[in-house]
Amino acid sequence: MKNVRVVVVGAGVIGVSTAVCIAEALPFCSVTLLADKFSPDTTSDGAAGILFAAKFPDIPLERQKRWFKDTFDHLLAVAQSQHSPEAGVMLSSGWQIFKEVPAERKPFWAESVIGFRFMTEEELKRFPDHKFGHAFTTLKCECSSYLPWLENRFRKAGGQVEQRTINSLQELSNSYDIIVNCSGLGSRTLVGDNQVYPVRGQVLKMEAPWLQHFIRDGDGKTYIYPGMHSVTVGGTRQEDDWRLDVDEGDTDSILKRCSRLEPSLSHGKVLSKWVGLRPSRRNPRVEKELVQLPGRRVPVVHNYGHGGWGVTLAWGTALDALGLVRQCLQEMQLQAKL
Amino acid sequence: MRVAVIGAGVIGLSTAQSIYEKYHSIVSPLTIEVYADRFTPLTTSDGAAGFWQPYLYDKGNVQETKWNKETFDYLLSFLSSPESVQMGIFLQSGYNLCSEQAPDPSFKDIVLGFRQLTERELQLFPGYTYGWFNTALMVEGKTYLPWLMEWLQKRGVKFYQRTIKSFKELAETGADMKVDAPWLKHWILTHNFSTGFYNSPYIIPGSRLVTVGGICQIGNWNEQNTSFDHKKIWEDACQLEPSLKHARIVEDWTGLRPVRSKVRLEREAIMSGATTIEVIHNYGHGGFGLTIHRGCAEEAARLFGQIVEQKGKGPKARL
Repeated sequence: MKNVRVVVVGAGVIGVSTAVCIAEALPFCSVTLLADKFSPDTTSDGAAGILFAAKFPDIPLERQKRWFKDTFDHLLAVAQSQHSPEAGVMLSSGWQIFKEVPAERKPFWAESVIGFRFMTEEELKRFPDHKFGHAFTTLKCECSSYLPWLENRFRKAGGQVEQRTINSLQELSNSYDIIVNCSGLGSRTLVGDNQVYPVRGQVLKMEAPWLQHFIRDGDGKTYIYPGMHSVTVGGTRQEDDWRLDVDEGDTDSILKRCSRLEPSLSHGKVLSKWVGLRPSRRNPRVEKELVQLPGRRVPVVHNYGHGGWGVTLAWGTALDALGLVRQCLQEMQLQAKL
Repeated sequence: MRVAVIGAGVIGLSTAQSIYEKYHSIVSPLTIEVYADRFTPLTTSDGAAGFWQPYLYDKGNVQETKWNKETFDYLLSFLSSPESVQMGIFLQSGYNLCSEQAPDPSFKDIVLGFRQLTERELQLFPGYTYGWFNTALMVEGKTYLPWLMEWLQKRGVKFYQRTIKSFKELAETGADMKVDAPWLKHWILTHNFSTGFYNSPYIIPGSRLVTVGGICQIGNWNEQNTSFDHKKIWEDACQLEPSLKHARIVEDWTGLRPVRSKVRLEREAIMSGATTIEVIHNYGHGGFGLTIHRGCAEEAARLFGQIVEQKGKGPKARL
């Protein structure tokens, strides 16, 4: 098989993970990671990176379970290794609490995390507004460390990195045989998908080194995630909101809601504030298509629209995308034979 | 009444606190003075990791388990208060690992969320086949002791640096290292039933640094760090937690755990010429001083109350 040129567009956690999977599994492909922004300027960089999943309405549950499990197991191996600090991956225990008992008491990912159980009455006493909760150990994957570490792995596997802004797939069609689209919110313009929309999230990074557990409200809007060098405290979920600047009203609201869950935060110091736009979609798009571009039909593998679950699903969807790339290769081989 | 507290580790300071809390409005005047050769940050309490956990089994010393529980509940009650950070109190979860199946520890009903480790969790720690997970408290001596001293100073308690002849009981050398490893958020304690408690590696993250330890040499009064101890601790801990390889070692510390077969918490009347000096003993807390301090302090205060009654210094009888 002659050398196949693959380009992965987008260098957030999805793009870099997908690029690594392809480069490591398919040595006869030359893989280029192409993006306008790299770490530390991607959406993934500001995310706390705690592994939690949500249920997407139209994707078979087995596939979603596999996405979560594959990512969890991959990151757990990193966390347990000596690479943990450099890669920014660590174990994190804590509680997800609910004001009302949810319809589904045990989430579909309960078996994939570690030591999942329901909170005891005694544990719930600390949260007087909340009636029910989960206690478990999961992983935290800090992309500002993880992405450079993964990129290093990508280069070791022979990958090339290119910083470039592209406005259409056409610009790539002559240089590459397969395009892998991990452009997140950029897919709106890049591939004309207006089902991708931003969900604005603001977070604060605080200094509160005595905090060792995560606390998350089941509504996903209020959370405290202790990390390696700071505690990520948040958040907001503002649909179709494109504002990237910090909103001080949101800052006050975040501090108020989080301090209610963890009073000691009033002694914490705010180190920085950050806003990211979650590349949201009803379901992530992980599928392939043949795109008609001037002169040729190019196989395109899509892997975008993970919303606020990018870190959680990155490795699992990257493996799926790799599978789709393999399918493209098989189809190309068949074509060549005809 | 004039009270002299000898010792300014966690036991001395908390005992002074309990006595003040219970009796300053009953006994007037009540003068409390603390005498010690070492004050924070040079006490044994300061070098300890600050982790609340008793020895696995109380061997029938149910009184000690009761004091441990009182201490835990007392510290837990401060968690939601604005003072918790100044007191150096916070929650931390983690793993107690054993190389063989063992009975549940004495503290299982005291800590939060106590449960056995799952298969998956045991896979994280090769070489260990059994253990428990729970959420416990940290109370960091380096923060707690200054908080206690300030509390006492505000209320007129005076401190005096003085060396008093030491009690002749067993001391147990402990050595640990403080490292910078902020990615670690769980404590890990291993238990080797043949080598004895604290002779097996432990890793206890704190609010700033991680305490890595595992030396407990009975009868060793040597406070110098030895490079042999240092090497052994480090190798054992790195086996337990490979990521420690990349942690920067910040300091070494050696402390003497004031060990005794059981805590001595009782009164004694000592004759000095024609006068009787009432002594309340509260010592011998080994490696669980921070863990048991409040329960013992309250008991010591209760004994103080007995003395107050006997001397007729209590509240006036109702007519």
